[in-house]
Amino acid sequence: MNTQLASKTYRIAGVRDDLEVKAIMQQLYDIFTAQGIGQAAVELAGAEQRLVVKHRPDQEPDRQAIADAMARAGNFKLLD
Amino acid sequence: MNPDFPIWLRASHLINFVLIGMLLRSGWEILASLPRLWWRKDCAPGTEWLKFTRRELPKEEGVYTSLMDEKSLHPIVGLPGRENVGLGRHWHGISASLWLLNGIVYVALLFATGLWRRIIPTSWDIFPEAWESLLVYLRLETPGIEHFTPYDALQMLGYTFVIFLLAPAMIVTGTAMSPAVRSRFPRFVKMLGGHQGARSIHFICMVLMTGFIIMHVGLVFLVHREHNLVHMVFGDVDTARAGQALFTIVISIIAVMFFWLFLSYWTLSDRVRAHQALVTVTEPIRKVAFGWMKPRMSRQQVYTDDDISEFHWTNGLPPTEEESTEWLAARDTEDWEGWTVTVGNDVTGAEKVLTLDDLRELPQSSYVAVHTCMQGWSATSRWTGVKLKDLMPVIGERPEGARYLLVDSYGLAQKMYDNRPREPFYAVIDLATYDEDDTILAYERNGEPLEAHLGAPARLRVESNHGYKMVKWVRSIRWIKDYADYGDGRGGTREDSALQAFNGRI
Repeated sequence: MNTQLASKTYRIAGVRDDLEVKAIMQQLYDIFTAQGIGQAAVELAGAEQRLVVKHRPDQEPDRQAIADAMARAGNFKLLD
Repeated sequence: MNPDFPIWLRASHLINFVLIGMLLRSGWEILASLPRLWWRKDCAPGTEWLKFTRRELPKEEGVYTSLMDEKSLHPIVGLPGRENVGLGRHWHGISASLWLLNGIVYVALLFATGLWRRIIPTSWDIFPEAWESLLVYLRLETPGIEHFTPYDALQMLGYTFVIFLLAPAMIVTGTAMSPAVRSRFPRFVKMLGGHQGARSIHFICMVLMTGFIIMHVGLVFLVHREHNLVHMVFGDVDTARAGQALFTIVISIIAVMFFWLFLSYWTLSDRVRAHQALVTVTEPIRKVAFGWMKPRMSRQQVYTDDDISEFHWTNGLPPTEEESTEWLAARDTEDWEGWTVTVGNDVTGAEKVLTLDDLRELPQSSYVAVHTCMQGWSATSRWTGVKLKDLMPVIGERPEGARYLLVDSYGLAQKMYDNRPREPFYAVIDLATYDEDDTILAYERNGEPLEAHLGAPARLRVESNHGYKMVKWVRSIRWIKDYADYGDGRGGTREDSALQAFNGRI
């Protein structure tokens, strides 16, 4: 079985440190299964902040569901 | 003074109180990283006998990573709390080692001084007497002071159970979860119901121990409190000092609780510093206790093909386009055409590029082994591949000064310690681990080509260690002088980012 996955990168804003990254991830974990997501990473590169998710290729994650999950974690925004 | 409560007895109880709190809290931290328990030979979602999460997981393999199941504990509850299973494991190791040492000293002195007679029953009369005592407690009454000489029958049975059965069971099941122990003594682990059996029994023992502690401490204050307090604090029989004793105990309990919290917040205030301090203690313990155990899965008959699991979790998902277009291109061919692994050394710069067919032409090793993640899940498979000690000589002898082997991946880390853009996943093993028979580069699982989500076309297998050392989607294997020169310098991606131990033998 050669599982194939796709990835998608979102620009995000408002994340300052590892504690906030963990808070976001905890909220995202709760919607992973429904959204077909298997893994996510927040990358902080200076002013640029990214959320990278790996998901089933046949299921595009719902952008609003991700934005809502981030909002539940704190004052974090999904930019695109 | 009362000879039944000497200073060593009281001191060992205080030390035990400190350590058991550390043990429980660090254990909860570990459990929170995978809050599910099984009795089975695999850990398929939906087959748990107990879970502490409402998260539902997909039933199919390879579409999620086990890290998504991790829950975050408040530092008041977990040691250290806030999703730090790596540091929690260090604290658990230190606490368990000291708790075991304290227990050995306690039991040795119990027998050396003859005080064991107060605890261990020597007559069958203990059972009817304990029953009578239990009935008194169930009527919410208090047995007369004359029953306590110094302990009553129910206490004696309880203490004997906890000291000589429950505590050893916790130690046995805890060590049975070590891959070094399992790969060296597979029969012992299988007798306990395998990794999941040991983990579930360990959990049940924890619940019983917690219940005992609550009851034990509760009864101290509820049943003949004045006598108990002066016994515990002063080793005295003069109940006139009960007030002083109560004050001392309350202050002690508060101080210990602050100490427990201090450990959490000290750890969280600078996790790298805490890691450095903790590994200074834990690495030598791991080395001495588990370093001598050499895996023999390729020579054992205990785990066979009948034990193979139906379900295998994964931690980390296959590379996607932003990670490695080379790996994706090879995956989409018939037999991983174009995929290569570089075998080399960073000391002289020598290297050789091998294909999957090149690996298949080298001597083959095959065995059934249990894969365990430090989070707690496990799966049994037949792994087939080439021993590293048969592979590395393709570039000649180990170069002078090379003390470690670094294996890296086409895939990226799941996260970096400081959340900087992710870098390739890697792990480092030492010479002793390299030399083990069951350290292989595997290219088959259960007689079939390795699946993509489990590391295809080739992955590292180090049966004496937990899974975080076993790099999937291997890109290169190189001799290096010192791992301090790579990554964050802690010897692997999971050591760098999750502050795991370099030595993954428990």
